[in-house]
Amino acid sequence: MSVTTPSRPVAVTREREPRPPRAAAATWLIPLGYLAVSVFGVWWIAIDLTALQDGAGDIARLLERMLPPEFGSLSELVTLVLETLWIALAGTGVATVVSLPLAAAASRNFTGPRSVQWLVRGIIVVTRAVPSLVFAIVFVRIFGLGPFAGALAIAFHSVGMIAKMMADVFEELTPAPREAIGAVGASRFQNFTATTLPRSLPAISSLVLYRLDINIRASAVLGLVGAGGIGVALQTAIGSLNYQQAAGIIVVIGLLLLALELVSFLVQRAVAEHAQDGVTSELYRRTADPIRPGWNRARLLRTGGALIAAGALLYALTQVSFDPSRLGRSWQAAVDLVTGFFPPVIDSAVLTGIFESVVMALTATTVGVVIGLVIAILSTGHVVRFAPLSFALRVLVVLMRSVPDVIYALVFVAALGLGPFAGFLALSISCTALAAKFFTDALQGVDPGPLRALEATGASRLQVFVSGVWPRFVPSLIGNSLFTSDLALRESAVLGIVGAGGIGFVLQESVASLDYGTTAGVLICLVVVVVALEAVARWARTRVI
Amino acid sequence: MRLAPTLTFGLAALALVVSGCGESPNARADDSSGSADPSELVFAVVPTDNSEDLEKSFEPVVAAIEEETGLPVSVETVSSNSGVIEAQVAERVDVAVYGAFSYYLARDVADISPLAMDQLTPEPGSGTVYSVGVVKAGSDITSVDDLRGGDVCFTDPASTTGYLAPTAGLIEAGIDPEKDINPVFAGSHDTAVTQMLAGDCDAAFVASTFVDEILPAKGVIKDGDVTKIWTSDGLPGTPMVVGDWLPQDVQDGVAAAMQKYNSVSAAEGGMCEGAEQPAPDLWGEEYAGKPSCMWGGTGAFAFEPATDADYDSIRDICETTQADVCREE
Repeated sequence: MSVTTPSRPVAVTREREPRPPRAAAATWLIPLGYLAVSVFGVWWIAIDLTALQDGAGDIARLLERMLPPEFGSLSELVTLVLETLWIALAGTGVATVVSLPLAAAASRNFTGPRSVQWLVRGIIVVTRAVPSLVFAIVFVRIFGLGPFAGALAIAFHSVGMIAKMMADVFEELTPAPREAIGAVGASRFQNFTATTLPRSLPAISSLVLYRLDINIRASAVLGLVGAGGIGVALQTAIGSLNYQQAAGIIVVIGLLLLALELVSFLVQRAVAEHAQDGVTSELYRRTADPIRPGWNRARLLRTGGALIAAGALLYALTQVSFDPSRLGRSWQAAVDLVTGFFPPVIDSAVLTGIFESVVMALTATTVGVVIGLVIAILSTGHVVRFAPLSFALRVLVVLMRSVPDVIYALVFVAALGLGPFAGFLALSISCTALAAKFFTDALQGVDPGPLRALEATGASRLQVFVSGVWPRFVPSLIGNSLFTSDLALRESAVLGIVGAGGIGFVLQESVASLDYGTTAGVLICLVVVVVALEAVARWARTRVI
Repeated sequence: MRLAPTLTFGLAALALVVSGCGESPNARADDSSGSADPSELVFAVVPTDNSEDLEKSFEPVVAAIEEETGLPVSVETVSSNSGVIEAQVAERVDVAVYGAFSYYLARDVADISPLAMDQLTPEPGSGTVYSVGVVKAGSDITSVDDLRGGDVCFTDPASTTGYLAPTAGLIEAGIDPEKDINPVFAGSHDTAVTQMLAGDCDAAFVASTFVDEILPAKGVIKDGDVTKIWTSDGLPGTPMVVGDWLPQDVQDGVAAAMQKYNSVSAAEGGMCEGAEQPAPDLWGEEYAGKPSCMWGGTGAFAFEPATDADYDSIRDICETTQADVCREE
């Protein structure tokens, strides 16, 4: 729609004509940085696609040995899966409750003392950087073998992700309601519960459910600290090459994750910020007492959902209880263990490991972001509106996630032999699944109002996407890409399975050989890298948001 | 904020320069699987119960193999036995060192043969490992019979010393390892022992080397903290396995390298120049104090010849326990 603009009188141009804002440095510097690392990574990993083609036969033979899935005693399997679900639910629930105040204090909008804000930010970064395996070995010493130590390890590690993402959500809210409530003299707490919390509920519920999904898969690893659940069975099946049984377990986990995705989808539809735009009145019903809000559909759903979630959490907590009488006895053992972490050792093995992990995580993120973006765009209906496709893609992403990294690693090892290439492919699949999920959620959350307006002007779907959706998606594209790298860094333990080294291998080896000084060195390196990624992310956020 | 663009561009330029010149350290010789005339050998090692600093400790062994076969060898340290076994199935790992039970599993799916096994001291057969059952010193439990109805810590269901051998022992004593006791999987040998001491279970079954050497050396337990109530028969030590698809002269070359050298003669032969260490007193007067090479992950004296029959005891254990992990495809 080109319209020739008649020359305007000078008086009007003085009121600055709205121009598209200059692209912030972060929006191109960060992708360029990823590209640079990827160029190096591709060379360093020695990617050789013909080798993959040559190995197709080996992949087929391995997959044949995984089929058909074997379920053994189904009731036993379901009991184990439920045990895992309770551990993950208890861990995630506790983490969510703890994360709320932490996130509020870490957010840029926090009006309290700076020192508290920095302390809280430190806690969030450290809990995120420390892998749950390390929390698990410490908590096993304190609380003994069993589900409680496992749930607590999950809770500690999850705080790092949930609180960080919550803080991001709080920062992204428009400040007007907060300022208005603040202006009438509300206290910090009143203001938070009245303005920030209700508006961020949709995003929070989505990220908490996603973390629950991650934790269900993570407890497959934690099974081996005596936490019970499906983890021991899965690891034993894979370790003893009993792939049919492993496939059976994976199918059950996949079904559980699909159910969870469905819950997440329904919750999103019910509580999403714009779910009721133009559908029903957003006003609360009148009550007898004029200063009390009445009930409308949204409030009913929110309250009902919160009650169900609280009930599930309470039930899960009763399933993972521990024996408090042993706490007194175990203090010394835990102190002994932790003193073993000093002095930390950062030798060449640790540095090589962190270098390998960072290069692989960033390169895999680049691949994951590109593929994940395509999947997300196709499954959200901004450009292509074909419900069966978006449904199929959503299911595909969940199924991709349900298969543990180690299986991907084995498949690629069969095709390519040991080495970084196999590990890189396995890690790229994890990153794709992560990025696709984050991007789909972000694209779905874009305020539809302006898009409707653009449509009304006759813009095509692509035009609406480019000028309406994309600019508001860029901040979360950048933020989520960096966060995918952050998660990939710890998922890089999969590299050890294929002999590609990485920090996860050094960590496992140091824990297995009781070399806790090196474990501490690994943790320090992880914290440094996660802090660096966080710093880049914060810098980008101040520029783009 | 001019620093960020400069840094990024610098990084991009560096990446281009580095990748423009020369081959990646990870590039492989073009050697598709199972070729009759390999141009490179892939040597994979998995951490076993008593190994540390894997990559470095196998360097002298690899140097010896390179010398005898005339082929370059790349060492891959791998955290999972399944990873190595699947690579063997696809004939993409030529030589591997892993636990005895991994060999039992791999034998079933891959064309491989054991060629040598760990010999910890100059005494042949010293690579034999044992599984022990331990209780807290002063416990009422004095034999496996007393374990009925109790909580028993194991490492994990696919561990020979930490589960399979002990359950075979329990079955021989008339105890059903799933019904008569409550098994608890601790995930690792050290956790099994520490949590047994902390009271999470009444007894723990682990590799003897943890109770005798590793845990006391790391200060985790002290002499007299635990009492042994059971010791298994000897279990075969860590095997070195080669692929049957390799040409005979290459297989012979690997075997020759293992027969030719032990830890001390390898040091004389210059396999670990600059990294020699004095041989431990345990190796007797003939060797004690002489410069020696770190010979594999367990710091063995040598790799002695091994055959499939050496691993019969694992099959017997599987026969007895009929454990899930023992299944054959």
